[in-house]
Amino acid sequence: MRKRFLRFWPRNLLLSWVLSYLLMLCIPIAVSFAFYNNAYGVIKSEIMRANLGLLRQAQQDVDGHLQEIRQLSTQLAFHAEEQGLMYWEQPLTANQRYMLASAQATFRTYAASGSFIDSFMLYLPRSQYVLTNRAAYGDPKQLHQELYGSTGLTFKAWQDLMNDRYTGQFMHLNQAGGTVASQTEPMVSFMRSLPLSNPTSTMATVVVSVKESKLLDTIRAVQAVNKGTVLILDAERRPIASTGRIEPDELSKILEAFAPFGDAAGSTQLDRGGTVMNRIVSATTEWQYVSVIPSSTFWVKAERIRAWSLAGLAFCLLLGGLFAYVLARRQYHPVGEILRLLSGKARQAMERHRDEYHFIREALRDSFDESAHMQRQLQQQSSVMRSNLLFRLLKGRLESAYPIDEALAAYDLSFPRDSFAAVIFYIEDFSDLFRSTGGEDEEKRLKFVQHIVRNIVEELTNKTYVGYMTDLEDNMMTLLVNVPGDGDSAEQVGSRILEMATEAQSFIASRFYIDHTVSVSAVHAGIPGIRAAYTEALDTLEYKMVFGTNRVIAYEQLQEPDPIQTYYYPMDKEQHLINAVKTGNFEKAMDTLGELFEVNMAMKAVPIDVSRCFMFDLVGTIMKTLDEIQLADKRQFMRSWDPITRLLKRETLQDMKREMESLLRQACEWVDENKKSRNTGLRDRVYQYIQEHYRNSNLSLAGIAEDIGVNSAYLSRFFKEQHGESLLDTLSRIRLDHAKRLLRDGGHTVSEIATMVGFYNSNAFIRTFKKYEGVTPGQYKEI
Amino acid sequence: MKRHTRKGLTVAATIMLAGGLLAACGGNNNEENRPSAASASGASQTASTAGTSAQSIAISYYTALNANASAVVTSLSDVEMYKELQKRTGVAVNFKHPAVGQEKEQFNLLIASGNLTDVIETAWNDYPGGPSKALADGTIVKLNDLIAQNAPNLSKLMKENEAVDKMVRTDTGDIYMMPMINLGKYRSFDGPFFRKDWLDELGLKTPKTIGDWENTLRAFKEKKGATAPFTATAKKLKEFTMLPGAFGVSHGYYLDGGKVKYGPAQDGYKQYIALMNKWFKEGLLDPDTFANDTKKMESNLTSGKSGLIFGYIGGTMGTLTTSVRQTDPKFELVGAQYPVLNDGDKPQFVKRDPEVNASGQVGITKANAHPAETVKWLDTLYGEDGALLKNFGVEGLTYTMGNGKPTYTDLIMKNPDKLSPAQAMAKYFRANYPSPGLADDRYIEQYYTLPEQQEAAKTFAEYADLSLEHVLPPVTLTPEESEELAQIEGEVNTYLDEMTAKFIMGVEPIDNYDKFVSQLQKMKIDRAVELKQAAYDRYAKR
Repeated sequence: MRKRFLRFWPRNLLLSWVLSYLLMLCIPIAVSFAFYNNAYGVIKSEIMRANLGLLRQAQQDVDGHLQEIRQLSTQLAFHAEEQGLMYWEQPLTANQRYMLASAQATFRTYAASGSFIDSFMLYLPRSQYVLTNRAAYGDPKQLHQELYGSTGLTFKAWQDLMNDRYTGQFMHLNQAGGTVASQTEPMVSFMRSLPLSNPTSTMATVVVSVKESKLLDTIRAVQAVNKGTVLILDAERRPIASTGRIEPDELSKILEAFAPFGDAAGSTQLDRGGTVMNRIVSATTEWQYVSVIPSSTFWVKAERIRAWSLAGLAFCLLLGGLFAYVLARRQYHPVGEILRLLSGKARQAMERHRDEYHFIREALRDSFDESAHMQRQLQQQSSVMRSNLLFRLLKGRLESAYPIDEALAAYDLSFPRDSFAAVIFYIEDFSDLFRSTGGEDEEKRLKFVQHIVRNIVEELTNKTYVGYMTDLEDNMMTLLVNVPGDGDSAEQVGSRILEMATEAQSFIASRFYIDHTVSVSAVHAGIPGIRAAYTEALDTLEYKMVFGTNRVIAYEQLQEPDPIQTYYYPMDKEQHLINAVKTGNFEKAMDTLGELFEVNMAMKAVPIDVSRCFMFDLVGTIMKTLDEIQLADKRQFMRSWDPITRLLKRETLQDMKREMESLLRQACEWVDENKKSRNTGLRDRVYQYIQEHYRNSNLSLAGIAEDIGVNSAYLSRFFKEQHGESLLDTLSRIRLDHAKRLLRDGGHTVSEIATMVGFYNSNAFIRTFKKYEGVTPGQYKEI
Repeated sequence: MKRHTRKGLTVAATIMLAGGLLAACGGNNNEENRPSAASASGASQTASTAGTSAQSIAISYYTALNANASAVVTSLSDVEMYKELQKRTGVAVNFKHPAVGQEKEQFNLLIASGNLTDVIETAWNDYPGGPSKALADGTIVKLNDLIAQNAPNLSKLMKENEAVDKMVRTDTGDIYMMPMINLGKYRSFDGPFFRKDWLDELGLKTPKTIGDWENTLRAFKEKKGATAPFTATAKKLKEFTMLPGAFGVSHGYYLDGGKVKYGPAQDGYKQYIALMNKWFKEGLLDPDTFANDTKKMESNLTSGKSGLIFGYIGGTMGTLTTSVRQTDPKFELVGAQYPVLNDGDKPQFVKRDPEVNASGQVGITKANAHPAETVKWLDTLYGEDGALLKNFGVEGLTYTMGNGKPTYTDLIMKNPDKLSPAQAMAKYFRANYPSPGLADDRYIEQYYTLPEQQEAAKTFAEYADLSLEHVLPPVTLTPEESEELAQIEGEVNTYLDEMTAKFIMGVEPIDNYDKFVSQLQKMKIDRAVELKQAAYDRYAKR
């Protein structure tokens, strides 16, 4: 199979299909690719957006918290300033203490709400009191110990911190904290110096602290998504919190990268050096939120999409290609089968063709041609078959189970009516038609004549009834007419057919010089009736002998033959005729002949066979007559005279009569002539001799020869030549003739007659008699 | 191509395509589901686990973190006991703790918010209006059937101890919580502690009378430079009964010969207040008392600013002593007897823990979707194994069994991270402060490692039984009563606190005390007393 596929390389049908499928596949792939590209771009921008969104979320969260812190600090400031806490000095009055306690109670409520802020304090240097969210500390050292005791921050350092001037800065401080002692908790503290209104003096410090871990929590969500590092930088670009360790040089690199964009509030995105950096600068706090993510992680989703898309593409191509091939092959399968089917019958080898289609086309074309050719042949055959069917119908040669209707339909024969008649056209002579032409062969001429007759007849017929002509058969063409059995009476139909036949006959004969005889049958019902009709027509045609040719003979014209009738040819008339011929008396012969014919032809309804017999009898007579004439060149004359052939040729009685006349004339003339010839001498002397000496039983050839004086051998030969039979036979016949006369006369016994006519004995007589006459003398006597 | 291979190829191709599609979709889903799953598990799963077996339920649990615990853990879920309990029962617990120092505020917020956890552990008598109101409000649910069906251990204890049975119910017989049950002999765990080393140094004996106390404080101030000889917080002052007890009164309602009385309305209380004021003026009482928190208070003691503190034998004495001794080995505390006014008097108001503790009470809230499972889970703490877990922790880790006697391991007693036993215990289980379950005396014996602790225990136990007459049992009010009482108390308490502070700090002259009392009466304190009396009468009849 494979070889066959490759046979048409490179214009292989399979290949072209596969390629076309693949081409088709290219369209969705190309479109998908375009979409993918678009999608890739969209995804990338979305990733950027999402990241930035997260960062912004964190920024907003933290900003919100910072807002809280700021607000809290303001509230604390209120206490410090409005309530005058920061102005108090030691020793405090009871009232002041009470107010401190109240303030602290209030602080406690501030702390209850919100968990972002870890703790806060209000540092009052004048009274050396520190109010925290938990308690009031009269001794700052005590607080310091608590908060920073385990960190490295000394009391002095802390105090300095507290006394510093702040306008709202954030600082990193580590407090003592955590679940295990000596653990420190990194805190981010918001520092604000009071009074807020007076920037120069520092009367109190508000510190609001947030656990760094809490800040980290806000940005951890950002980090969790992308596994980079997220930082929060304060307004001075110092890191406040970071999810991962950032080395100082890394930090400076990051800051450098963003440097060209300034510190204006807004978002910036950079993708360079293998990392993607997003930065949002808060408008309210000027803090910066930076996320640094390695490009590979940042774009991981996009890359995955890309990988998937490309994999999908490859998969598509692969699968598509596979499918294309499989489907093409599957589709090729019937083509392959067709090829296989045709290759057996192809005239040309497959290699000669460009591709499968070409091969198939050519093979089919050949096949169609062949088919057409066969069709034509079939058509030809069909007409023959049709004719054959018609013939069979006419001749009644159909099997009982023959599917007649199908056959009729198959050959386009339709018989709308139920009855039939047969009309036979017998072609006598058409030499006149071809007189001017010539050189064409008999076959062609015949066909031409057939064609003419058929066309005319069928045309004429089909005006009234449906009729089909058979082909020529023995110079005969039969028209089968389908006529209504009911409706019109049979007579009307019959007369119409006769009319038609007559018209045809006259037209053909006159225009085309075709001599022919037409016989018309009666109407018969049903398919079986066809045979009857045909037989009738045939029989009727026979009667052209009687009625003559080149006419229309209808069956109705024929009369019921008289079965008993014979022809008129008595023996005495025959004898007259013989004698006449013998003597060469033509007039006498003619008289007799005329008489015979007259009587015969006057007889009514002579069966044709009877007429024929009469003819033959006449011929016989002549033959016998001539036989008896002993003339020298009888043979020669016989040959040229040829009476039998001539007579049998004649088909009608009239013609026969004419021929007889001619024959007789010739015979008589010949006899006459020969009678004059003296060369009948020897012959006559011998014959005379026999006539005189037949009674002598010793008569023999040698004796006669001696007597006459010729060689016996010569005599034997000569005699035979002249008479046509041997001398002994003539002798015997003469003897028998006399014997017969004697027997007829009666009065003598057989043995007497034997010796009388010259036989040696009665046995010889009886023998010889029987031989020539067929009966014994005794029997002949009885007749 | 043969039919089979062609068919097979088609099938294979179809499967491949389908598989690819599914993988893509599935992949997407997985991506999306992961983060949301993560967040979902963190959030409350309270109502969402309907139909799941008890083995896999999770409950949310609100309780204040005890000082000992807050020092070592951030949440009780870190405590080994609860981890073990989860392993044993399959119940996962989400603990929610208020910030230290803001327990009251946050509790109120919790109740007000309506966003209740499944379980709240607190002193339900502190609920505005009391336990009946809590039931009436629907904050907590009645536990009678739940306990009967799911708590065999507790039911047994209730059957065996009439007092227990009485104390877990309201007057109407509704069981409103699952308690901490203490059936042992140690009932007094808190009292006043003086710095023994200072006393010794100053050649003073442990003071007995109020007068002694005053002198001792004065000596602390003058001779030891204590800036806050007696340090306290406003809360602690109100909590500890030793000072007003010397004057024959208690802080709130108490019994006097079967009659309910309101402390602050009594003359004895006035005297007590006057005393406090005196001490305040003199500088014997921490000037920042009303601005202190426990941490500050303790830090006063440990930093040498104070010499007298009210606290607990374990949590205060033990913990502080252990921690200070790291730097100051001489540090020593002594548990002093509750002061009396006159020599020979016996303190009447020694704090005595009833069989059912006033705190450590667990109520099941209306938000609980698995009350039966929760009760079952809590009930384990009343059974033998559960009690061992509660009091001793995990065998092998925190205690060893020897002759049927559990002994704490070094992990507890000599903690490698230098945690005091109290803190170590708090890290692994809940023995040394009120928490639901059955308490076990044997812990105390080991808990009080320091001899002074053992001494203190004896000292405090000495007159403990005398308070039975005076201490109001945990009476409960009807919802209507509760509401009325809540209203009254709401006003009264705020006023009381304010005025107490003012009086003590001297902002308000003591002379105005009577005005204060009449104001209280105007605030219907007598009605409140009436209500309490009625409740007590009912209680007595239970």
